[in-house]
Amino acid sequence: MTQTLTPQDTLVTVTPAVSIIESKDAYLVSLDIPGAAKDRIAVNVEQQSLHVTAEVPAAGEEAGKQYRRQFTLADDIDPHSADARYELGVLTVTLRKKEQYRPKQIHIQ
Amino acid sequence: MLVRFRHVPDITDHFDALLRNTILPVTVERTQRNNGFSLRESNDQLTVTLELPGVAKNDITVNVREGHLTITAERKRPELNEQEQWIRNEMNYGTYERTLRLPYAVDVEKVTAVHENGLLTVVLPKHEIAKPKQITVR
Repeated sequence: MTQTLTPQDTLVTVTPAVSIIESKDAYLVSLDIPGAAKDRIAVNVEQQSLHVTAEVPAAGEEAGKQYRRQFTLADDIDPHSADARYELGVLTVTLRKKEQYRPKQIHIQ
Repeated sequence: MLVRFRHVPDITDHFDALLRNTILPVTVERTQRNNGFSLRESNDQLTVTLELPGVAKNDITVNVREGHLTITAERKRPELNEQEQWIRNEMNYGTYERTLRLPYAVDVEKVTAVHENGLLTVVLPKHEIAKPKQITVR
């Protein structure tokens, strides 16, 4: 079934492209969300999941976009450690590894 | 009024559903994505918007020449050090170029381009000769 809507009423759901980089103590999860205002981006981290949503309003004939993507967190991630920044239309969430999963160098005595 | 359809799922959505746990090492590349592009015309100007996430301002050029608008941009691939590795990468890096034939004469001196939050907006005011005029009937 289709509905007749003005562009302003329509939100197109978009799955943002992602890149994930693993370093020795963290994962960097970057998502392309061009044109969003910072206060229209929501990042939710729970025990087992990372959920990102963002809204870009309609412009002229262009329908508004709703960006949405969810990830299941691996066991080595500390969900309380997450932080996020938004730069040049890219949201980057840093998820640090739990202490016990970080590599350690052992000194030989 | 416009009739628009909601998002039509494609095959990549099904792969996404299968690969929900993308933080785990999975090396599946998504198909190419297009940079969102839109054109908006009003009585006195044409507005072009282009999504360029992750592109620095210095890596974008906007040219208006001989009735054409050309946008070039370069998205640099992050360089990883020895202790970092890609787990997943769906982004498009490299050079992007798009040329658009302008539908009417623009006032080249007044063209402006703004890059904000990964969205490039180019405003091309119409040249006087291209603006609609109402003719009084005598």
